[in-house]
Amino acid sequence: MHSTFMLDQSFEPSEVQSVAMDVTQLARAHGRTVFRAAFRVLNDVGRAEDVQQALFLGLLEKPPSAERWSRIDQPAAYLTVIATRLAIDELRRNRRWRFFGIGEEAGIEDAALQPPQIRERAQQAEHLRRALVRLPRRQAQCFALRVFANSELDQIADQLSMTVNAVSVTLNRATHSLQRLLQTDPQGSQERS
Amino acid sequence: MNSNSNNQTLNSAIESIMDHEPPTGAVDKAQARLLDRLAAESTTAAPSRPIWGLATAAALAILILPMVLLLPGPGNGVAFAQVQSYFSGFSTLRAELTTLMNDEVIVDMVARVDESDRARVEVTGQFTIIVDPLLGQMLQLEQQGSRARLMEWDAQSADSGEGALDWLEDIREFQGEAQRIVAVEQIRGQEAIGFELLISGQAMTLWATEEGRPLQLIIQSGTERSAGDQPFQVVTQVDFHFDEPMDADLFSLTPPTGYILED
Repeated sequence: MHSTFMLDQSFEPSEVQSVAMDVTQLARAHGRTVFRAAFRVLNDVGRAEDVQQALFLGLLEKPPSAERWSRIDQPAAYLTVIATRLAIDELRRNRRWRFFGIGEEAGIEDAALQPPQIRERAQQAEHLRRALVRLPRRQAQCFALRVFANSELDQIADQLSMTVNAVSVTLNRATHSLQRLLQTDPQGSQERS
Repeated sequence: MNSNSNNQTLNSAIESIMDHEPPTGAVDKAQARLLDRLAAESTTAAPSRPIWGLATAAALAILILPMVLLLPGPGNGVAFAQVQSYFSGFSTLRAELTTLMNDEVIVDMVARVDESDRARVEVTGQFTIIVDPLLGQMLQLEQQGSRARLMEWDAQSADSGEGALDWLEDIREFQGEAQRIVAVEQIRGQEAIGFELLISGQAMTLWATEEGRPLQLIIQSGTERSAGDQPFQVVTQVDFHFDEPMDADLFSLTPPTGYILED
């Protein structure tokens, strides 16, 4: 487990009062949802599990303030947003250490044994992940929260401490950048050293 | 390629990701391990953290502090423990951070922390951010436009680093051993001993005085290739200055004269 650092960026400190929150109950109810959200972005079981554990351990260690928690009426959506955001950061962080070779990613490797249609879809997914890590961080976060976590603009704005207008502009930029990257460099070859 | 085709390619990729399910059994195994972990953790008292460990965008550079605190595991020796103690026991800290790409400065930043854990970060020619964690407020000053914004401080805004300082997170992840460097260097006129850290192939060196006072952190980002396929070297240098007198005005949340306060 190496993801403790992520917690500081994702939860407000409970400086004054912590809400009485049963983290274990939350984990029972939404742990699988969180794992799936992280896996979608990372396509890596181990790293998705890291994100999942980091998120709930973070809640255990530093629960949101009572005021903030009282504003969260859909815990599953909230946790999905956090998980997606952590996963995007993890994806970006890993970029620098990882040599992207064809077939290295589990998805493509596994798909190599699959019918062509499934293989093609796995490659499409992996190319989008590679393109995502090449975006500026804010663009990657906004896009992932909007598309993978199905968040509304105001939710993204709240989560990322941005204005709704800024989220909208950032999303547009992200979309255009991704379209361009997928067309001009679909395999993310410029990412390789 | 027209925009419809671009859209189609992107949408198709999105669908592929959304449809991609984890391997059979992976979700349940992860869930079981999560519940085990929570059960184990809940019986252990949560460790206390320094207030600046709470992080803010303005204090990203200052995150060096709690991160370095987490650096060494057992067996790193007394010398490094002394280095750590400076990060936890200072009264004020000034950290000068410079990032060079092929010897050209691309980021030039000064971060200050005072005794009350107030933080001020200045990026030369761009902006200044002042955070008062006790008041829960942050002042942003845009230097070129002389515009100021005062806002509620939120730990979430710590994530606006746009990746430029991702290496800080990597340091924090480090659980390995800090290797003492045999050679002695002169850093700012002082004899310095060094500790090497290697994180996923990225070399980091922390220099400190014989007494353990940290002087400098060097991060080598290695040779990468830019979009134009030209190799480049990125080096980040952080110089530490402890316990200097600091003017309280540096941490004032009142915009300086000439700045326009925006809503």
